[in-house]
Amino acid sequence: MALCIAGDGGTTAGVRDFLPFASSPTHVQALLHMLETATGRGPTVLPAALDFAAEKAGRRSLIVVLSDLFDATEASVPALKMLRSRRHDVLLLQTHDREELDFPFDDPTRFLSLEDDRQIEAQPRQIRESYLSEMRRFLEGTRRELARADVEVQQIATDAAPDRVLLTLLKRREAA
Amino acid sequence: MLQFAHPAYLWGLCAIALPILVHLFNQRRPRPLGFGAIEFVLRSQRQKARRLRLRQILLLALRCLLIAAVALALSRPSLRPRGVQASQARGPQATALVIDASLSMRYRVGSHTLFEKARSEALAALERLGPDEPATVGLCAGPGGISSGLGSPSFDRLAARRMLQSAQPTWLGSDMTGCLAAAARALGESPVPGKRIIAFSDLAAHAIRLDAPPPLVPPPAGAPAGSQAIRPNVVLVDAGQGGDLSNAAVIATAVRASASLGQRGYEVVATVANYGARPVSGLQVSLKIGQNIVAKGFVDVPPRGTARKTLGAVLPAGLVTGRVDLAREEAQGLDEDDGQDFAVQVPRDVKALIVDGAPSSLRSRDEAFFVEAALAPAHTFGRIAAQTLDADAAANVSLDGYDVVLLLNVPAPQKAFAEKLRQAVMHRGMGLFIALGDHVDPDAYNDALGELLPRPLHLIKTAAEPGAQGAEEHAARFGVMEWTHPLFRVFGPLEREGLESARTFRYALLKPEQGARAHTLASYDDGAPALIEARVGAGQVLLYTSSASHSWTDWPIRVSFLPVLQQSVSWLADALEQRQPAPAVVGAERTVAAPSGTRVERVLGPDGKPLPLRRENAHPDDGIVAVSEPGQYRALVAPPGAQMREEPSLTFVAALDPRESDLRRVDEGELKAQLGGAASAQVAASSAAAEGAHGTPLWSALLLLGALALLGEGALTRK
Repeated sequence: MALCIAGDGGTTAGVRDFLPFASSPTHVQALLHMLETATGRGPTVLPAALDFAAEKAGRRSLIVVLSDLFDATEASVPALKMLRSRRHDVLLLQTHDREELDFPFDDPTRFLSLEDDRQIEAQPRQIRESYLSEMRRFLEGTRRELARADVEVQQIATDAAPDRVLLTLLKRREAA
Repeated sequence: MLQFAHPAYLWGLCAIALPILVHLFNQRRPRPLGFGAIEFVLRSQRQKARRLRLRQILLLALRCLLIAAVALALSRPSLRPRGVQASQARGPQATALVIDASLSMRYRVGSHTLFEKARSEALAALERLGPDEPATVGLCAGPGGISSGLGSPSFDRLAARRMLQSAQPTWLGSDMTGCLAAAARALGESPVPGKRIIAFSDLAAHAIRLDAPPPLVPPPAGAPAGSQAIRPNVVLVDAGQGGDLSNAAVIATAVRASASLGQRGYEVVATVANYGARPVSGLQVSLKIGQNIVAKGFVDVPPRGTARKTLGAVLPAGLVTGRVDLAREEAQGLDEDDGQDFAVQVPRDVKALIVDGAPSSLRSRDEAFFVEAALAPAHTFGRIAAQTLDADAAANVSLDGYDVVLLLNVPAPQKAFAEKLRQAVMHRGMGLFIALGDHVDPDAYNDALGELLPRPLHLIKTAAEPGAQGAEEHAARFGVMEWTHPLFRVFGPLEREGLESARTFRYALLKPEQGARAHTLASYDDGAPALIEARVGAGQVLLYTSSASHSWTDWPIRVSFLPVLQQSVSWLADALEQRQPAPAVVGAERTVAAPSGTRVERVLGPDGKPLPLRRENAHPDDGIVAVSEPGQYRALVAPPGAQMREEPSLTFVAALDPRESDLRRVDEGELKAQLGGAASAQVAASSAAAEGAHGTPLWSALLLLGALALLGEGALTRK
């Protein structure tokens, strides 16, 4: 089991942090520690990170990707397809904040990008309908595109209970 | 020009600042938020940016419009018609609606009268009054000004509407000046500071007194001392809308006997007035007796002038009622004055027997010469048929059928003839005229005629010998005359001199009166009776103490002799041609004088219903009635304790006030000046201006605009 945290680059382009493959119990501890301490910041180059992961995996592996795919979606999806073409079993856990899914804002808000310096002032009530439509189209498009490449996608809200998410996922894989 | 009833509400326009503030509040600095899906926010914003800006501006505009519309509607703006004075009071106004209900308002334009037009205008004006404006309604007719209504202004719209809906024009004249003053007084009872009078009238000049003071609203009852009366706003709505109200009318009708038309021939003279600016030619005039049209003619009437048309008819004896009518003009006119009723007492025919006591082959010396001439058909229009017999012949004829017997210088009648005379006079009511002469012996007369003589003859007095020198000077003249008696009523002041100039040379003196039955109608300048009458039984006896020929007096050769003798015969036969009573004028009171020995019990109006009677202490038997409509009025009289009977001689007709036929308008400038000047008075020529100070209301349209703005705002905010 290995863990690769994508980012805007560190030791390797597109990879902020990496925990190599190992199967010892201490490795699991180290992996959990890295997950707990990881924070989201800066831009992400997901395709590079996926290339890195495919390279490190070497043989046929299960590659679980946790991402919202908001970054450069057009490049990320081919990268995921590439993983599948290398006979890896790819599972995308597409995670989104509940606010991103429901856009529940009322007051005028200046939206700041988490990955770059983009920002915009908007009346959420006035653009909610349009935003939700865009979001739906994005999620549907991603799911449809990756489904064609035989990439399994599970969309998860961040406020969902992890055990329920995991249970659902396991049931689906068992049925497959 | 825009005006506001409640300008204080215009402060509400300041509330427009609220949506602007909301708009600005929405534009305030927003809170920052890190957001992963900013790409979608950016896309959505790009898509909607233009539409959102437009929507925001639209929302702001609609909200401002909503508030402005409500504020403006509350201030009750109105669009004032051109010509309305600028100084109309603002705010609610106590309002008096006055409708001219005079006869002239019956003027018809097409199928509608001016009154109907005025009534609908008044109803519309009432509906337009604000809920905070008390109102009162009055009808203006009659000499007293307001005929009904005009109480204290109230908010009882239902009562005011009912009164207007049930209002009807009268036959009376109107005093609009007095009515406006009454309306101003009524407005003084309302605590509302604004005062307004809206009057609906034809603005006929005859109804407005330009020399009267303007109407003033008295200060309220509890006002401090020194408070002054205020001048109300007066709006006069011209029911005729400035159109030409030309009119032709029958303003007078006179009836007189006409010898040229034969027995009982009468001329009806109608005076036709043209109040228009154009001449009227070929106007048809018809004379109706009862239900039949008996004569027709045409008349030309100059503009603003009058013309007379004479129509003739042979009338039956007794009370005759008729009517003169003009042909009705279809397009417009006052139909009510196109005709006028009249009533005339046509005396019955009289049959007289002249007993000639001194016939002569020389006609001028015949005792009956002047009497026959006076009673000739040419002079009596055939009403009196006289037959002359000498004394002997007369003694042998039956007196049945004769209404009057004239004894002219007849020797004392034989006992049989005297008895026939007495029977005819006392029991049949025959009249007896006695004139003296040389054949009369006073003592024999007293013996033969006895009680038939008003007073016994005493002796014959010769004042002067006829033909002698200075006889004219010493002859007796008529002295005291009872001019009001029917015998002399035909003499006007100028004609009386002709009677007084008669000279009498010889006449009979009478013995002192033993009872009070005789009544001296004329006496000589020495006080001796000349004409004396007495009621004997059912008949009347008239004694002339001189001769009916020129043997004792020169009166028979004078013009004044004829009418006196004709009147005497008619009076004795109780067939006197009455002077036609002047017609009553609608709107005035009429005193119906009871004949002697009777009492006026009832007076029936044109509809046959009895009218309320008023009596005065000075003449308790007479009845006084208010004449309120044109037509024929009949009187029922009764002697004390007896049954009522109709008295034809008391029948009279009521004619319309001719002033009401003249619908020429008062000068607008003078009228405004009389009402206090253009600052407080206006004359509205159209129905739109009837609203007066209100003008055309805009508040309802503004409320509609506000509602639409609210709907739009709601639709935009829901999106």
